[in-house]
Amino acid sequence: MKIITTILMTIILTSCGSETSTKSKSHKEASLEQQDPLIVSDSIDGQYLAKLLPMNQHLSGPLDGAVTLSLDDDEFIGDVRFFGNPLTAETVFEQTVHMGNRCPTLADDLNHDGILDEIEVLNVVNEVIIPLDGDLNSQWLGANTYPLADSFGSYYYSQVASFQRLLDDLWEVDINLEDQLVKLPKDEVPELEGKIALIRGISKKLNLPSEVGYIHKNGIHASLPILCGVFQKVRTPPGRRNIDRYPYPHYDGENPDDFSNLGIPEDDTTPDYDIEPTGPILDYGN
Amino acid sequence: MKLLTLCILFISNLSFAQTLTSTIVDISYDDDLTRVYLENGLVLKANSSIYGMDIGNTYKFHYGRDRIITLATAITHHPTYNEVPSNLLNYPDLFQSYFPTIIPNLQRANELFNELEYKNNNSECFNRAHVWNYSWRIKHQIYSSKAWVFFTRKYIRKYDFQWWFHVAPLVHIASDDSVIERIADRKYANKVLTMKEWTNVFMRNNVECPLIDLYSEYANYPETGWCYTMKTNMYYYQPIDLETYERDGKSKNTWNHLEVVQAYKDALEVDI
Repeated sequence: MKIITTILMTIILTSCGSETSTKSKSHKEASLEQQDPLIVSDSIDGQYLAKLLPMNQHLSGPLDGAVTLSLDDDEFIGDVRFFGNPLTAETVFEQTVHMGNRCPTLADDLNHDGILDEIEVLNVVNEVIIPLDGDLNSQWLGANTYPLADSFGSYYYSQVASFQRLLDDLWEVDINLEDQLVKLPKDEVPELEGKIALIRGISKKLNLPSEVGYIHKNGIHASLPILCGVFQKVRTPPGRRNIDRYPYPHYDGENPDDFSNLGIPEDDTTPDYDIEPTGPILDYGN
Repeated sequence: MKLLTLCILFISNLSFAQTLTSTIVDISYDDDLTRVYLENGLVLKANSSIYGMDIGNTYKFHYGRDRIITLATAITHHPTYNEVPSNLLNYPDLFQSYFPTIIPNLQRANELFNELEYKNNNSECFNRAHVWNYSWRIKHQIYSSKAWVFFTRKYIRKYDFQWWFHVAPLVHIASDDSVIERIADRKYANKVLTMKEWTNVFMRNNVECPLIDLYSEYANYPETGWCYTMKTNMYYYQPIDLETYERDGKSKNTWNHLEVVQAYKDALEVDI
């Protein structure tokens, strides 16, 4: 019985192991890694970021997002961050990488209706080389499987693929010359930098003018281009070294210990909750 | 003996079963493993695709020590506490004009740290942080800040890490002719910590987490680096506040009553 109790106690104690205990072991095992130095070589490996800018914002409302393609040896990862609004809630969005080299502007609005429709936009961004759909390994597998935004109008997409499988698929013979997809000559590796990311779709609740042009088989709402960006290779990682010490602030003509005029908003209306102070109110100047 | 071992393992598994209710913010499919990113910062896992579970919906999750979901039940839930009253939306940007209180010395900072109420429950970090910032404000008139750490997708995959962000109060302390910043995370420390000491609690590879100014510098770089840190005023409650600030310019410069109520309820299990 003593043995059983001991074993049980050991297991229970292990289960209560804190974050710290697991971590100390990991610390011993892990070599010291550095934040990515991002040595940008001539190879295609690296991260490619397309910051998305709204098109037709007067229809879609405020939008923000980014598409990131990451290539490390054979590992190819596509991520899409889409920060929407009620007009994009519970809507499916088609997200594609195109062969073009710029995003459309209002100068590309050929019928001058103030809307950049699908036909006008595709004239600029050209064919699709990589659909960011249900399967990144090929153009056809996972076709038409695209993310659905949540009830707040946002979504996050992430897919991992084999870059070699993606290339093999791109080098196949193009058996459908009518679709938007394009193949590449055998052994041509696509240059990701400079390619275009495009997102199409809007809620069916939105009334769109009938003159808006489209070729999308899922209809006018699924066709509307709303975000576009140009891929650039990430050469400088974001951020800087944290500095947690800075000079003590002194203010002209003021007592340095008096912080009553340092910009604390007068209308900081802290609600008067029923929480009694547990000790004396200390005065730090505010 | 085999039977005994099995019994022990079963008991052990039972003792690790956990439940929590949270909203899904992201789902990713990596290497035959589905990762479910929750609003509270936790990352749970499923061995296969999770049909019928959607981003934005709230579920009660049952999961084991390995964070594999064993059962999820949909909850009808309207997170009204996320809504910022419209009269708060047009304040000026306090990233630029927020002036935190400077605590006289490190000893006093640690006294204040030891005052923070902590209940050993499964509360969310953003609720604890909000309660701690708020309690200093009402008890001592202290305007403190917040420190955030965000873990990249690459880091989460490599170390099978269970959180995608963490947050705690940040205090400003006079030291000689300088002001130093320290993090007050009562759950993970017994004194105020430097930013590096604090992030080291969570970073398995000891790296320094670069400081960023905008949420997109983390969110747009899921495969670049391992982690990022950010500093804001004390009123920002959840990462979506940082995302909204960046896109729409909606800064937060006062307490949102509903958020404070929610934070106290979760962190200390009290109604205020």
